Amino acid sequence: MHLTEMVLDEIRRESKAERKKSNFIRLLKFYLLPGWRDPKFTEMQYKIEMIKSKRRLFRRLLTPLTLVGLGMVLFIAILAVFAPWLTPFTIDELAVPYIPPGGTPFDDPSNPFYIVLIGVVISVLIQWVVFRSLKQYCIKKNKKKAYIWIFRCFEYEAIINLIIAFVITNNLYSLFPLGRNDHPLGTTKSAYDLLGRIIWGARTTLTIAAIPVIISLSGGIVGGTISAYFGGWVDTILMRFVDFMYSFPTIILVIIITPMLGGKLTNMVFIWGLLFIPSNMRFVRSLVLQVKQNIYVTAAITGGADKVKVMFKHVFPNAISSIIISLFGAMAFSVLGFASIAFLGLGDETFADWGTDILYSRARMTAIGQAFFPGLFIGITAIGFILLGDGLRDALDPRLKI
Amino acid sequence: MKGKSQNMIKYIIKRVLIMVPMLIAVLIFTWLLSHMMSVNPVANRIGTNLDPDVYERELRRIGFYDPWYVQLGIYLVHFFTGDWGTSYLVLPNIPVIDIIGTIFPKTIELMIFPTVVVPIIAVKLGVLSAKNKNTSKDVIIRLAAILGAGFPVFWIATLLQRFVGINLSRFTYGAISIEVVYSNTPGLDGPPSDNLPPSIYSVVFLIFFVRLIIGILLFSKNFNKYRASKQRKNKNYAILGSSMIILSVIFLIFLVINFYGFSYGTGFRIIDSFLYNEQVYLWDTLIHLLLPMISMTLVSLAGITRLTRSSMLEVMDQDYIRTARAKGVLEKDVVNKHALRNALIPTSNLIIGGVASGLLGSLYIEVTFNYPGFGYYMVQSIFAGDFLVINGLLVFAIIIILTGTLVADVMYTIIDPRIVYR
Repeated sequence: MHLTEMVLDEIRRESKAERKKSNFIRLLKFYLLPGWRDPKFTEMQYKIEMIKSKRRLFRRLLTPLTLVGLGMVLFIAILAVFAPWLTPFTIDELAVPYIPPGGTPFDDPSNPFYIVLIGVVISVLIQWVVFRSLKQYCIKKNKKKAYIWIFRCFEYEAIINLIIAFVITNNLYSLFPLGRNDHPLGTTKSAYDLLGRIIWGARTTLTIAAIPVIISLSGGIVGGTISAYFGGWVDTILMRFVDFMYSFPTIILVIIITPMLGGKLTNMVFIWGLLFIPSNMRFVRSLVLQVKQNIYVTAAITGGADKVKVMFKHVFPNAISSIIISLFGAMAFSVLGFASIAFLGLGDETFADWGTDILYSRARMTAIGQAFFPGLFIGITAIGFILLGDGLRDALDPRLKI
Repeated sequence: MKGKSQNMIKYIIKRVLIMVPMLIAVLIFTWLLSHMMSVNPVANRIGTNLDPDVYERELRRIGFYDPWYVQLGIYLVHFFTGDWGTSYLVLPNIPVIDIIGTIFPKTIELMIFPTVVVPIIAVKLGVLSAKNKNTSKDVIIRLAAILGAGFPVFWIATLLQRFVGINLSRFTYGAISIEVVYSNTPGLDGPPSDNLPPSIYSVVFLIFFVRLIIGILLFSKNFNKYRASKQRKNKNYAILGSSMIILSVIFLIFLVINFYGFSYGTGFRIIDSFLYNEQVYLWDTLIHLLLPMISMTLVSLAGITRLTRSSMLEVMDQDYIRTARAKGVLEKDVVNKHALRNALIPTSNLIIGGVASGLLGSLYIEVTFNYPGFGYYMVQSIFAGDFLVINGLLVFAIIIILTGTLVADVMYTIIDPRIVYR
């Protein structure tokens, strides 16, 4: 009897409901726990399951860098989901200027003290590491004792510096208790709390990352597949259109069109999605053309299969892995692009947005934290998506044997 | 060999002919777009609380009440007869062609290091990290590249500005021309025409012309020899010649533009300062160029390194690399000749395309540093609603992008001889 038929027979013997209940947990254990196997399995069943499952894909996917990327994206997602609980400020207090009765808006863009502390700590740590490694090097190479003593002195000095910095900054804290409890990262323009804006901005950023990419990719998939698969005049017309749009600098189109439609976030997301359809169309088209050259497609067509059915059953599933990889790269690009547009002053000011925060920070040269933290979070999101995309590419590409 | 080159010439002519209707379509599209913008240029220029009569007269003067097709027709006729209009708001009453002639050299000065020198370093780094895969070198290079690719350009630029700008105010405060010795026209700085004796002009012209001819001779002699005999010496001379041609063509174009249009210098501030022997001008330029250039370099370094590494890894796993190693080829030659040539194909797209799109990539950096280049004036004119400047700059940029893609396609055949255009 054939191998798969044996397994199918065994599976048929189980009742359907029982299988459904246990299947999910069993699969999860099988994928995630290394070396785990179901005690009920026979040897043959286990082998089949190994071949059938995506276990090796999961193993290749769980590299340290991919996990770091996943952690970064999850961190941003947690900020987005639990925003109202993480900060006492509501979105209205953070994005709409609050003018106290009979006064101008309170504007205090000064740095809180522990930002200075962080700077001191980092520089002291660098000093410690450098002189420690120099000392080790001298000991290893049997240099003169005087060198070793000098480097050791500098190393201990770093630790003393660290203690002094902690003491001084803590005393300064007690002198200025305000601003420490209310605004942990200081405030930006019109006394918006920076930490609150960063936490609420996670929602904006994830929206920005997801929706335009979905719009542009689905448009690209439909257009590109049609263009590549049917060829002829459809292909010519679509590709002329793509060439025409391709010759335009997309950034400048976005800058021109965004204020035209009122600069609302919903409009911007939609425009961004539409404008990136042509490049995705070209990408998907080249992919489909590659897959179409395979013999199994020719075999399916000569076997008398419907053209549309072949497209969705044979061609498309084979092209989808590259599209999924490009999805994460596109998300990172989208996050960075929206931040840049907001930096030019075209962002929606009724939302908390990290790019707009960096724009606000340009008003005051001395307030480094105002520019630093929003950009850091943009970077975390973008790098998270990039690392996820890299990990997926390495896992899905069997040639790269990692 | 000869048939191939003739095919190539036919292909280039075909592409150039396609560019013409494309350019007209782009022109019309840009015009419509810029006139659909919800900006009122007159209100921006003279304020809203003005005498309504003056306001109406001004609107009539710029042709606001004409039907759109009349305005478009007038613009197109003027455009193709060489009159690209004058600026209305950004640099009032200065012809758009003159603005382009002054702005583009400055952007090219900013771009020339990140697009010419950086790719060489970046490719080397990518190869290094691919060769030592999963070692400490690889991890460090990958990490640096990911940091450069993931953090936004303008953020890096802003932080540089913050950390350096406070101490050395010269780097960032104010526009590029803080110590303007010469001010002929408002907004655009440069030495006036009567400072420049015509003899110097002709000498500069002659120098670049001679350079061009030497470059053409070098290239044409050595390129054919290289094709025939594959000598390394000939190849190097051909590359030298081609770079001489490209550089002197760029300089000559701007010399000619500035000779007929603008009345002073070359537009390249560094060259101008040498022409006039102005040390202050030179230091001013270099100091203002430093920070934008550093931030530009970081970003382009990251992208090219990442791409080179991934394509290198893909190529190093192929069968022909194993064959070359089995034959006993030196590891150095395996990497540099067999692998790198094939890995450079996707990278070259980024590098050559980067020269064209770098004009736009420098937009955020120019805005951050108040650097009066292409991107800065583009954003300024869009925000102000200066239609003619938007159109002029965009059309010029699109011409550069189209020729850039054409050059990239032609260069492909040199890098990858399997590609044949018909």
